[in-house]
Amino acid sequence: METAVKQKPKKTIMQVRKAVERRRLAIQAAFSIITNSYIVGFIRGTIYKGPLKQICVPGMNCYSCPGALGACPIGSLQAVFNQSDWSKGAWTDANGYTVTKPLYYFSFYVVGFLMLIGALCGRLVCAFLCPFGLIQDLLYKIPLPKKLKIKSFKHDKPFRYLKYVLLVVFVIVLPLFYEANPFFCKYICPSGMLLGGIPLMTYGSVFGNIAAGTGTGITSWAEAGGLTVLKLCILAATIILSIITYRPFCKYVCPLGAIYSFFNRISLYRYSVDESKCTNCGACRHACRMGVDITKTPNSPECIRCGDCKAACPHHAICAGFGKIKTSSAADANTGDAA
Amino acid sequence: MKTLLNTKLRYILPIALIVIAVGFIAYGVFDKEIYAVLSKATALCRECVGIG
Repeated sequence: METAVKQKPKKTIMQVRKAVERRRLAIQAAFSIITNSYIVGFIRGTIYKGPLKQICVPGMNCYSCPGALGACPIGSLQAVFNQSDWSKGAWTDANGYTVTKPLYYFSFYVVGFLMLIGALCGRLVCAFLCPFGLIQDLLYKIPLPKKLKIKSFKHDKPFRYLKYVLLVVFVIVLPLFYEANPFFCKYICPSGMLLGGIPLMTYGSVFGNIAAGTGTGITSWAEAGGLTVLKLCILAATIILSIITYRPFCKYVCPLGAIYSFFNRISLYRYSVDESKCTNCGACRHACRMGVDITKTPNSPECIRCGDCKAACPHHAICAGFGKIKTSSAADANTGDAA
Repeated sequence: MKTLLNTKLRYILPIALIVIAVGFIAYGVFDKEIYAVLSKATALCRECVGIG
């Protein structure tokens, strides 16, 4: 009698990649739902005002979203910089300007939070814990003819530096000089418009008086002005570009991604390539939608640690994890890899 | 030797940063900075969500 043992067929690389992506999307969705689970906000057209809002969330999640339970670190950073203490009184200087004593020049709490997350896992947050990243991932899944899907363009690399410029100018310098004014949130962030503005204004348009009664102060889309138009245009551009190319906001605009990117090379969670297994087949390079060549720069500032390259590698040469990674890679030993 | 130093630095640097970060957070909490965050996050910022 034959005792044929049925062996489970090995998964193809494409199946592994799809499984990895499904798992990542599930984690993203679960985290986004948990951190935006204030259902009352959606029902009454208001925002959560409880003590949990003291705690920052690691991803780009507008605190004016009706469901948001935590505070956006970028919004908080701008809000605390150079915040004046109005309770200590204000006076008028010789030039007639109102002056107050600054309460905080620097936000130790928010900077400490960003350093903690960055030193632990770098841009892993972008791939797994950011609600706006999830929205872009889903938008990129909208099918388009292959010709219209752009992986990279001629001046892609210089454009990547734009997020650092926006971080310095709109998140740090301008709020420092213009008293805790959230310039990035006001003039650029499409997340606030999508997660906060649209739901609240739509709610206000439908149930105007109820919304006003709950203290949001929003009555309807009739209050929309120039700023609304500007932010709607930015949001529309972000949505269209997200369908065409992978995560354009993360690549070129996101100041939070820019902050975490500084930590990618030194964070505890890291990637490495085992050179004894790597055959330079290019499968990882081809799989990476952020345009990173992991064999050259395993911990590039642009890598969001989504795991696509790891899943695509037919030789299992890419390793990722906290602590010691078992490889014989020279690239792994080199912490100062080029961008 | 250089690799060993790199390997050691790879762990020392993030751990040192984590310790500093925890110190920053503790100082921020002690300095009541979290209330500044709370006051901002609980008041709807109309301009931030694009009203105006």
